[in-house]
Amino acid sequence: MIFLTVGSELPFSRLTTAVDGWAALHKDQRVFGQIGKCDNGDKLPTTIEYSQLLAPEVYSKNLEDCSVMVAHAGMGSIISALTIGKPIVIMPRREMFHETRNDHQVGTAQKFASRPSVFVANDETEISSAMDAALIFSKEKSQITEPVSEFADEEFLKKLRSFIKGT
Amino acid sequence: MGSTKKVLAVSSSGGHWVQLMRLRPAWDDCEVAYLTTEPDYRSQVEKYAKDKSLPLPRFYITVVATRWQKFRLLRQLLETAMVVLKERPDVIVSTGAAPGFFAIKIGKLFGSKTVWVDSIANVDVMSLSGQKAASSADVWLTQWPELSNRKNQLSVDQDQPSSKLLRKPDYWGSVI
Repeated sequence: MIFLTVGSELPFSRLTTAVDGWAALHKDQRVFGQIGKCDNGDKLPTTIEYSQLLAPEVYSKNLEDCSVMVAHAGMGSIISALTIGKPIVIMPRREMFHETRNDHQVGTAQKFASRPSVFVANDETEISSAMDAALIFSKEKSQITEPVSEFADEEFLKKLRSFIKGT
Repeated sequence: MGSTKKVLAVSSSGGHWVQLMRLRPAWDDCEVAYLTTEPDYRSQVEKYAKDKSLPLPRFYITVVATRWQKFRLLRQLLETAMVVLKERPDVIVSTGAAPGFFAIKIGKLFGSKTVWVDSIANVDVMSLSGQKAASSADVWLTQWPELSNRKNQLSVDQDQPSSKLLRKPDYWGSVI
């Protein structure tokens, strides 16, 4: 299963529509999306299964069950994928389309692109190739994608701990 | 020394919270309270405490507010102030955004030591709330060495307003 998530706040129709379009051409793949709270005017997917908002337990279950995650370039989604050791396709929200308040997700996506299990689609035209690449990666590399620790580096924690103790 | 420190850990929901959770082993041996905007997170911090045989943290909720929702921001400010005054923490740690900014501003006035960890999402420039929190943050961190003062160590005199303009964040590491 491919798990699409656009975060828990705003919808992200450019991404949802692109993934829905990909799914229409790949009927053998099951895609489930958390597409955000949509208003009447928002375009809804026609191919994929979806829910506007998932309870945290259901979200975790989908994360565990999926082979590839597709998400906006938000840290919650990226950290979830890295922690559980799943490949992730990320597409940045853009200010010019009123998808977010600034373009920080563009920088986030660029920085995390260097991680082997992170696939960046700069915009909707790159979704299809990024999803294909992530699927191939999931088949070939699933055994070697090591989940990262659930916590920050010990060095960072040590510095924080000693600052707290010293107060 | 010797006494258990009180820590108030603050963040809004989503990615900010995920990052705060990755830092929590730093305050395992402290008396801990959390302040966030999502009630569902309570079970997560309680489970962690139970699994590690730690005392249950106190857990506070404030309203969600964007920077354009003035009344909600005011309510968030007041609710955050109540929590800070009730807790009187030794240390306030925040990964952002607005509630953390408020907590650090208010906490600093009442003698708490303050730590701002800017979200790892901010790779080119410190977040707006991070920039605004700088003057009240005893520890002001970026998670990207390129943004930090690592290369050109500037001495920071917090009592000199002019030097605040020059202050660059420290880098202690990243949450992932």
